[in-house]
Amino acid sequence: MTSLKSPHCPWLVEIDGEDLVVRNIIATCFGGAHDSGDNGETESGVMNDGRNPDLFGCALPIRSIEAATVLSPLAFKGPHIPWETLVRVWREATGEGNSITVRLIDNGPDVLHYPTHALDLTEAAAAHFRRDIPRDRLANEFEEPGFSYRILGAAPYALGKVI
Amino acid sequence: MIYFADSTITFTGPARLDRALTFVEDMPKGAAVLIGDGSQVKMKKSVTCGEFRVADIEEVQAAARAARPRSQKHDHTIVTPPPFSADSQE
Repeated sequence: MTSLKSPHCPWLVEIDGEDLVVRNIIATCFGGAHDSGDNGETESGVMNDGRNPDLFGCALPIRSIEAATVLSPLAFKGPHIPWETLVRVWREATGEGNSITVRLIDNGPDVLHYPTHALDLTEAAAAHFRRDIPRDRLANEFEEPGFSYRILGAAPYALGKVI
Repeated sequence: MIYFADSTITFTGPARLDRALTFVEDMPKGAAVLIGDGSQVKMKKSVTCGEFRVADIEEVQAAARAARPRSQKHDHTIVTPPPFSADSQE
Protein backbone atom coordinates (compact mmCIF):
# COMPACT_ATOMS: atom_id res chain seq x y z
CA MET A 1 0.00 0.00 0.00
CA THR A 2 1.27 3.44 -0.83
CA SER A 3 1.63 5.86 2.03
CA LEU A 4 2.56 9.49 2.44
CA LYS A 5 4.70 10.79 5.24
CA SER A 6 6.19 13.97 6.58
CA PRO A 7 9.43 14.10 8.55
CA HIS A 8 7.63 16.31 11.06
CA CYS A 9 4.75 13.98 11.97
CA PRO A 10 4.84 10.39 13.28
CA TRP A 11 1.64 9.40 11.46
CA LEU A 12 1.22 8.31 7.86
CA VAL A 13 -1.46 8.75 5.24
CA GLU A 14 -2.41 5.50 3.53
CA ILE A 15 -3.79 5.62 0.00
CA ASP A 16 -6.54 3.01 -0.01
CA GLY A 17 -8.25 2.98 -3.37
CA GLU A 18 -10.02 6.30 -3.76
CA ASP A 19 -9.72 7.08 -0.05
CA LEU A 20 -7.06 8.35 2.31
CA VAL A 21 -6.71 6.66 5.70
CA VAL A 22 -4.93 7.93 8.81
CA ARG A 23 -4.54 5.65 11.83
CA ASN A 24 -3.81 5.91 15.53
CA ILE A 25 -3.61 9.63 15.99
CA ILE A 26 -4.72 11.92 18.80
CA ALA A 27 -8.16 13.47 18.43
CA THR A 28 -9.29 16.68 20.07
CA CYS A 29 -12.43 18.84 20.04
CA PHE A 30 -13.01 22.37 18.81
CA GLY A 31 -15.74 24.96 18.70
CA GLY A 32 -19.28 24.73 19.91
CA ALA A 33 -20.98 26.87 22.48
CA HIS A 34 -18.47 26.22 25.24
CA ASP A 35 -15.06 26.64 23.62
CA SER A 36 -13.52 29.85 24.89
CA GLY A 37 -10.63 29.44 22.46
CA ASP A 38 -12.73 29.36 19.32
CA ASN A 39 -15.25 31.82 17.97
CA GLY A 40 -16.93 29.23 15.76
CA GLU A 41 -15.68 30.59 12.45
CA THR A 42 -14.38 27.93 10.09
CA GLU A 43 -12.66 28.10 6.74
CA SER A 44 -15.52 26.26 5.08
CA GLY A 45 -17.99 28.91 6.17
CA VAL A 46 -19.91 26.43 8.31
CA MET A 47 -20.51 28.00 11.72
CA ASN A 48 -19.28 25.82 14.58
CA ASP A 49 -20.40 28.06 17.42
CA GLY A 50 -23.07 25.86 18.95
CA ARG A 51 -26.03 27.15 16.94
CA ASN A 52 -26.24 23.63 15.53
CA PRO A 53 -25.63 21.31 18.50
CA ASP A 54 -25.86 18.27 16.22
CA LEU A 55 -23.11 19.37 13.83
CA PHE A 56 -21.02 16.32 12.95
CA GLY A 57 -17.90 17.92 11.55
CA CYS A 58 -14.15 17.86 11.79
CA ALA A 59 -11.01 19.81 11.04
CA LEU A 60 -8.10 18.07 9.34
CA PRO A 61 -4.57 19.44 8.74
CA ILE A 62 -4.93 19.77 4.98
CA ARG A 63 -3.68 23.20 3.95
CA SER A 64 -0.16 23.71 2.65
CA ILE A 65 -0.24 27.50 2.81
CA GLU A 66 -0.91 27.81 6.54
CA ALA A 67 1.88 27.68 9.10
CA ALA A 68 0.01 25.39 11.48
CA THR A 69 -0.46 22.63 8.92
CA VAL A 70 2.18 23.12 6.23
CA LEU A 71 4.17 20.16 7.57
CA SER A 72 1.21 17.78 7.67
CA PRO A 73 1.29 14.71 5.38
CA LEU A 74 -2.20 15.78 4.31
CA ALA A 75 -1.04 19.23 3.18
CA PHE A 76 -0.64 18.48 -0.49
CA LYS A 77 0.84 20.96 -2.88
CA GLY A 78 -2.01 22.17 -5.07
CA PRO A 79 -5.74 22.08 -4.36
CA HIS A 80 -6.63 20.94 -0.88
CA ILE A 81 -9.26 18.33 -0.09
CA PRO A 82 -12.61 20.13 -0.55
CA TRP A 83 -14.72 21.34 2.31
CA GLU A 84 -17.75 19.16 3.04
CA THR A 85 -15.82 16.02 2.08
CA LEU A 86 -17.12 13.10 4.16
CA VAL A 87 -14.81 11.56 6.74
CA ARG A 88 -15.38 8.32 8.62
CA VAL A 89 -14.01 8.42 12.16
CA TRP A 90 -13.51 5.51 14.54
CA ARG A 91 -11.45 4.25 17.43
CA GLU A 92 -8.82 1.87 16.12
CA ALA A 93 -9.59 -0.44 19.04
CA THR A 94 -13.21 -0.90 17.99
CA GLY A 95 -12.69 -0.87 14.24
CA GLU A 96 -14.04 0.98 11.26
CA GLY A 97 -17.32 -0.89 11.55
CA ASN A 98 -18.13 1.34 14.51
CA SER A 99 -17.40 4.59 12.74
CA ILE A 100 -19.34 7.81 12.49
CA THR A 101 -19.37 10.02 9.41
CA VAL A 102 -18.57 13.71 9.72
CA ARG A 103 -18.04 16.57 7.28
CA LEU A 104 -14.73 18.32 6.74
CA ILE A 105 -15.35 21.95 7.73
CA ASP A 106 -12.02 23.46 8.80
CA ASN A 107 -8.24 23.31 8.71
CA GLY A 108 -6.43 22.09 11.84
CA PRO A 109 -5.31 21.02 14.37
CA ASP A 110 -1.94 22.73 14.71
CA VAL A 111 0.51 19.97 13.80
CA LEU A 112 3.39 22.41 13.85
CA HIS A 113 3.21 22.48 17.65
CA TYR A 114 1.30 19.20 18.14
CA PRO A 115 2.62 16.77 15.51
CA THR A 116 0.78 13.78 16.99
CA HIS A 117 -2.60 15.53 16.67
CA ALA A 118 -4.38 15.01 13.37
CA LEU A 119 -8.12 15.31 14.02
CA ASP A 120 -10.31 17.95 15.59
CA LEU A 121 -13.94 16.97 16.11
CA THR A 122 -16.93 19.20 16.66
CA GLU A 123 -18.62 18.94 20.02
CA ALA A 124 -21.40 16.65 18.78
CA ALA A 125 -18.93 14.29 17.11
CA ALA A 126 -16.67 14.17 20.17
CA ALA A 127 -19.71 13.57 22.38
CA HIS A 128 -20.51 10.45 20.39
CA PHE A 129 -17.25 8.92 21.60
CA ARG A 130 -17.12 10.43 25.06
CA ARG A 131 -20.53 10.47 26.66
CA ASP A 132 -18.81 10.52 30.07
CA ILE A 133 -17.56 14.08 29.56
CA PRO A 134 -20.22 16.81 29.91
CA ARG A 135 -20.68 18.59 26.61
CA ASP A 136 -19.77 21.94 28.07
CA ARG A 137 -16.30 20.56 28.90
CA LEU A 138 -15.55 18.58 25.76
CA ALA A 139 -13.89 21.34 23.76
CA ASN A 140 -11.34 21.95 26.46
CA GLU A 141 -10.92 18.46 27.92
CA PHE A 142 -11.31 15.94 25.11
CA GLU A 143 -7.93 14.67 23.94
CA GLU A 144 -7.65 10.99 23.17
CA PRO A 145 -5.18 8.79 21.26
CA GLY A 146 -6.08 5.79 19.15
CA PHE A 147 -8.40 7.45 16.65
CA SER A 148 -8.41 6.70 12.94
CA TYR A 149 -10.23 8.17 9.99
CA ARG A 150 -10.95 7.64 6.31
CA ILE A 151 -11.32 10.64 3.98
CA LEU A 152 -13.73 9.46 1.32
CA GLY A 153 -12.72 10.04 -2.29
CA ALA A 154 -9.67 12.13 -1.37
CA ALA A 155 -6.91 10.00 -2.91
CA PRO A 156 -6.85 11.90 -6.21
CA TYR A 157 -5.80 15.04 -4.31
CA ALA A 158 -2.81 13.21 -2.88
CA LEU A 159 -1.84 11.91 -6.27
CA GLY A 160 -2.04 15.32 -7.87
CA LYS A 161 -4.87 14.32 -10.16
CA VAL A 162 -7.19 17.12 -9.18
CA ILE A 163 -6.52 20.68 -10.33
CA MET B 1 -16.85 26.61 -6.13
CA ILE B 2 -14.95 28.49 -8.80
CA TYR B 3 -15.67 29.13 -12.41
CA PHE B 4 -13.81 30.74 -15.24
CA ALA B 5 -15.17 33.48 -17.46
CA ASP B 6 -12.82 35.28 -19.78
CA SER B 7 -9.81 36.19 -17.65
CA THR B 8 -11.81 36.46 -14.45
CA ILE B 9 -11.96 33.77 -11.81
CA THR B 10 -14.82 34.04 -9.36
CA PHE B 11 -14.88 32.36 -6.00
CA THR B 12 -18.36 31.94 -4.60
CA GLY B 13 -19.31 31.44 -0.99
CA PRO B 14 -18.09 33.28 2.08
CA ALA B 15 -15.37 35.79 1.38
CA ARG B 16 -12.08 34.44 2.66
CA LEU B 17 -8.82 35.59 1.17
CA ASP B 18 -7.05 32.40 2.14
CA ARG B 19 -9.75 30.37 0.42
CA ALA B 20 -9.22 32.45 -2.70
CA LEU B 21 -5.59 31.39 -2.70
CA THR B 22 -6.30 27.85 -3.79
CA PHE B 23 -7.76 26.02 -6.77
CA VAL B 24 -5.85 28.09 -9.26
CA GLU B 25 -4.16 27.05 -12.43
CA ASP B 26 -2.15 29.13 -14.83
CA MET B 27 -3.08 32.57 -13.57
CA PRO B 28 -1.64 35.24 -15.89
CA LYS B 29 -0.29 38.53 -14.66
CA GLY B 30 -3.11 41.03 -14.36
CA ALA B 31 -5.84 38.41 -14.09
CA ALA B 32 -8.68 39.45 -11.82
CA VAL B 33 -9.86 37.31 -8.94
CA LEU B 34 -13.26 38.02 -7.50
CA ILE B 35 -14.12 36.58 -4.11
CA GLY B 36 -17.52 35.91 -2.64
CA ASP B 37 -18.53 39.41 -1.64
CA GLY B 38 -17.40 40.96 -4.90
CA SER B 39 -14.03 42.19 -3.67
CA GLN B 40 -11.39 41.94 -6.33
CA VAL B 41 -7.67 41.27 -6.34
CA LYS B 42 -5.31 41.18 -9.29
CA MET B 43 -2.34 38.96 -9.97
CA LYS B 44 0.99 40.72 -9.69
CA LYS B 45 2.82 38.01 -11.60
CA SER B 46 1.98 34.90 -13.51
CA VAL B 47 1.67 31.68 -11.56
CA THR B 48 1.32 28.16 -12.83
CA CYS B 49 -0.92 25.51 -11.34
CA GLY B 50 -1.46 25.12 -7.64
CA GLU B 51 -1.61 27.78 -5.00
CA PHE B 52 -0.64 31.38 -5.28
CA ARG B 53 0.37 33.55 -2.39
CA VAL B 54 -0.34 36.93 -0.95
CA ALA B 55 2.92 38.17 -2.45
CA ASP B 56 1.57 37.33 -5.89
CA ILE B 57 -1.41 39.62 -5.52
CA GLU B 58 -1.95 43.32 -5.91
CA GLU B 59 -4.76 45.16 -4.21
CA VAL B 60 -4.75 42.61 -1.45
CA GLN B 61 -6.00 45.08 1.14
CA ALA B 62 -9.53 45.20 -0.19
CA ALA B 63 -9.84 41.47 0.07
CA ALA B 64 -8.22 41.37 3.48
CA ARG B 65 -10.81 43.78 4.81
CA ALA B 66 -13.51 41.55 3.45
CA ALA B 67 -12.11 38.46 5.13
CA ARG B 68 -14.00 37.28 8.18
CA PRO B 69 -12.37 37.06 11.60
CA ARG B 70 -10.32 33.96 12.13
CA SER B 71 -10.92 31.20 14.59
CA GLN B 72 -8.81 31.60 17.67
CA LYS B 73 -8.22 27.90 18.32
CA HIS B 74 -7.03 27.10 14.84
CA ASP B 75 -4.17 29.33 13.77
CA HIS B 76 -4.81 30.12 10.11
CA THR B 77 -1.72 32.23 9.52
CA ILE B 78 -0.70 31.97 5.88
CA VAL B 79 2.93 31.17 5.19
CA THR B 80 4.98 32.33 2.26
CA PRO B 81 7.66 29.59 1.95
CA PRO B 82 7.07 26.97 -0.77
CA PRO B 83 4.35 24.52 0.26
CA PHE B 84 5.46 21.25 1.75
CA SER B 85 5.06 18.36 -0.64
CA ALA B 86 4.49 15.06 1.08
CA ASP B 87 6.94 12.32 0.21
CA SER B 88 5.58 9.16 -1.28
CA GLN B 89 6.79 5.71 -0.40
CA GLU B 90 5.69 2.23 -1.31
